[in-house]
Amino acid sequence: MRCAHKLSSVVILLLVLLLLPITAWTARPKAKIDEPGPPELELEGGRKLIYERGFSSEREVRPKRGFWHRVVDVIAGEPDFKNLVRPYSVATDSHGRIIVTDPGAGGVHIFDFAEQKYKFIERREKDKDAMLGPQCVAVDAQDNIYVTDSETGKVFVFNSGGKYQRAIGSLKGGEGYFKRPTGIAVDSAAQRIYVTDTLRDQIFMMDMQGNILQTIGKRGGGDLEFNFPTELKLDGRDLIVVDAMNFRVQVLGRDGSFRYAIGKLGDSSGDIFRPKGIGVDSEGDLYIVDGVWGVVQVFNREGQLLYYFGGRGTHAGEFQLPTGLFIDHDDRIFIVDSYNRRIQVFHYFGMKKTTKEGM
Amino acid sequence: MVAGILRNSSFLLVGLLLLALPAAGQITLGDLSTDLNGTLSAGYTGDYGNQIPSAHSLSFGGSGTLSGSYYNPNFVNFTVSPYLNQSRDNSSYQSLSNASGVTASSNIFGGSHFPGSINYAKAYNSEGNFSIPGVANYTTRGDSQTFGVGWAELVPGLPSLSANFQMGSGQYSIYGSNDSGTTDNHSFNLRSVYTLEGFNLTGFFSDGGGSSEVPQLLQNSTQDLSATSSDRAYGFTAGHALPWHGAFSSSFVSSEYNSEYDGGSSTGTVDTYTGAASFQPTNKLHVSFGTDYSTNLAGSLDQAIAGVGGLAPPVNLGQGTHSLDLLANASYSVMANMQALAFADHREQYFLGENFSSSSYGGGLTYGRPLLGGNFNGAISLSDNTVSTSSANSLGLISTVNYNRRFAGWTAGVGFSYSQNVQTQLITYTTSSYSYGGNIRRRWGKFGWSGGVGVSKTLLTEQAGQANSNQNFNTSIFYTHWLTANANYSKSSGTAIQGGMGLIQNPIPQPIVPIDDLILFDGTSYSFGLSSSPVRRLTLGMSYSKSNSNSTLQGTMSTNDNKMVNAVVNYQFRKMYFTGGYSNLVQGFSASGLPAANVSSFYLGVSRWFNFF
Repeated sequence: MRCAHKLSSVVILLLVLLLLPITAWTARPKAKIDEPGPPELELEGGRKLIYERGFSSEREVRPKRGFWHRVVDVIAGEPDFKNLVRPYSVATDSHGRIIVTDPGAGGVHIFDFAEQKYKFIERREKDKDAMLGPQCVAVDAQDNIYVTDSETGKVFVFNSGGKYQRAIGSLKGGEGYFKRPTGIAVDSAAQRIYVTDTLRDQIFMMDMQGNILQTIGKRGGGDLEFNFPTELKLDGRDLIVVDAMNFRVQVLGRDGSFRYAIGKLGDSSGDIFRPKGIGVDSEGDLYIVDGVWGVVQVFNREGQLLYYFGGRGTHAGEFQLPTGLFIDHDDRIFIVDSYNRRIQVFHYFGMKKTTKEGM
Repeated sequence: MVAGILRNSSFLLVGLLLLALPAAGQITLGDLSTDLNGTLSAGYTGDYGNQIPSAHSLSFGGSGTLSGSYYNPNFVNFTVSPYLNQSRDNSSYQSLSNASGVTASSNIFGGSHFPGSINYAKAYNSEGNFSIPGVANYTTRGDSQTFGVGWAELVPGLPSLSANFQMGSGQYSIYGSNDSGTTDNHSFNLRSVYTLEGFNLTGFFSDGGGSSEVPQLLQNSTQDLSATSSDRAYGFTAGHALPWHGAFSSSFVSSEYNSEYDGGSSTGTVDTYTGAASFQPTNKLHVSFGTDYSTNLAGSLDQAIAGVGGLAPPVNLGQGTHSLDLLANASYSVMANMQALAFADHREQYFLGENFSSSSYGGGLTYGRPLLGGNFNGAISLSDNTVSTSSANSLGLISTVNYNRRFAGWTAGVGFSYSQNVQTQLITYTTSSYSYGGNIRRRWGKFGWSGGVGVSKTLLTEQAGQANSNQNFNTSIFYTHWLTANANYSKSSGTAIQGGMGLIQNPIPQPIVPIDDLILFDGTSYSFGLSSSPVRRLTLGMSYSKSNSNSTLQGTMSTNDNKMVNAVVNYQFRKMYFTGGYSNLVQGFSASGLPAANVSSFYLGVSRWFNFF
């Protein structure tokens, strides 16, 4: 009787050990199958905008796993891949790596699809200069990564490998100089860093060591006045600023002089309601993300709406609370679809090319 | 028997695994959407001790969570979480024994004007506590179940109505004694709220009760103490805004109670009428007036005992006891961070065949400001009290002082409070108390230290030598993820009454509860714990606690000991967890006449987390 009981226990154990991996294998998350994106947008003059892809996880970067890796995956489960939690801003470097700030995850994701590599930068547990709320990101000509931290009031600099270099705006006692740094742009040629301090309604122009050379703007609704400025972009001779609560985009010179502004408050096409990320394509047209309507509106420099794409939703090509936007040299448009926890990539095929300055 | 249960459980486990085979992703059947995840484990476990048979065998267990919704989470959603063979050796369940059970809950029509909810929990062989105030709890083992259902009507423009029913029962045995106990309780509540012509109206009805069979392990009595109680109440409140930012409210509450305690019984009705009005004629001045009248003072004291879960014989203050209280308050903001208070209070009570009255007049100040780089807060209140039974006035005093600041990397805080001649529910008794404490912490890079101390003492002014006191000292250190250590020492003494699951500090003036039913206790306990994560995904932990207490009830003295050791090591590799654990409990009560129970268990095994669907 005792022997039979032991035998049945061993049989059960073997059954469990056999079934565990099989169960794991069948229950494992299936490879993501990209749903069809929106139809390509045919534009005037033979230009077009096509949806390329979306991604949300380290899993999509990693190479296809070999046989023995898959055996281990079946038995012990797949590794814990990092996912986008609450992404905010995006940029790419000269190697095509996609860099995404993620305040929800408390760090910065680096997706390298070409090399099938992934890296996550974080400094939450550090005693000195901890990074708590990474907000916007910019990359200089050497692929150094600049990240504003709206919680600690500092700007963190990492090299292209993700190694911490320094913190700009770090005061004695650990506090940050900025009240709420958000947008950032780096002019490598002129050795200048531009940072918006949203709560001060100002833009700081600094040298590469963080010494303040000039402050631009003050609170208000006129020219060179801001009401909660956020994102910044450099394009040619222009410094483009999202003037969020004035519902417009101001275009300045790199020296801080006012050039022009586009946009007005409203809730119809061509109006600006909650401007978030901005970008400029190779034809010089301006892309403005509207966070509430979930669309990207494209304006020419005269402020005329050329077209828009997106819409609120969860399907490919739709957005929920989109935030950051970045356009690379090939006119690939990276849009942070924050509430859907993903990055969506579109590709614009234009007719004319202009040379960009400043990167 | 146990082997049979184990074998059946194992087959159930295998069945669950087989069910999971075709599953991947969320399962949707029509409008039904479900998710299931959980942990399955297998290992080798053993138990041995002087009061249990030694056993060792293969062990299977697990826990899971099935959640889902029908049509929409706002229409019907549910969560079911079963667990099998979970203990402190093989899981995060803090049970010395292998506990099994299930918890389940569901919300119905959550997005409508008629939301409802149902909850159910059943636990087998789970660990519980038999408490002694201020020191570490003693360990019990038993089964329990609870069931509850609730429903509400929230139609705009109509009176709201909510109804809740909850019931529960349990039975337990105490390690180190042959005693066992049972508890049983139920409650039903109705509540309605309506606003009519600016009047905020509320009505309620409640009915509840319970029974307990409490082991008399501190007396070496083989007969359990039996107690039952029931309480039924209904009441109404009405409130309305008044000029000068004022408000008025009045209420009537009537409750009937019935309690049986160790063969005796008590039945009564308590009607309470209250009224209050408040005004704020200027931003700086606030005044309020209130009154309440209770038809049964003794019943109010009985309910105070039942309200904290205590079991005690009915309070006997004679026939026709009642009380009347009139109160006026005023506060004025003298300057930023400083407020002046004034009050007048008059009480009349009839008990033990006599009329008693007391009057209090007083005032005070509260003040807070930055001081010497820190923050200071203080409050003082003085009162002049007269009681009809004495020609002498007494000075009442309540004061608190707190200060905290950071200096040279340290963060520290201290507090002190003292009260003298504070009125109790019976105006012939007052209490005095003091407490003080402090805490300090500092971090040196990766190393940190903190410490704290708290001391309190409460006594009835008229009953010298009968005080409740508590002392607690604690400290902890850490060095990054390598080491976290903490230690605690506490000492407690005083008087308590019997509760369904241990001793409870007496909530009313001591002479009201007969001395024979009061338990004198005096105990000390200390504990320390260590945890470390030397490499990523590897955690080591151990804890040790020891408590000794003496209790005296009706002349019987018992020396009670408890010692608990736990050690666990856990390594995570992806979704797999390799676990080893050891537990030892030594617990005894000298009044039981039995040697202390010495129970140990160990576990070595592996578990795997699955997201089944």
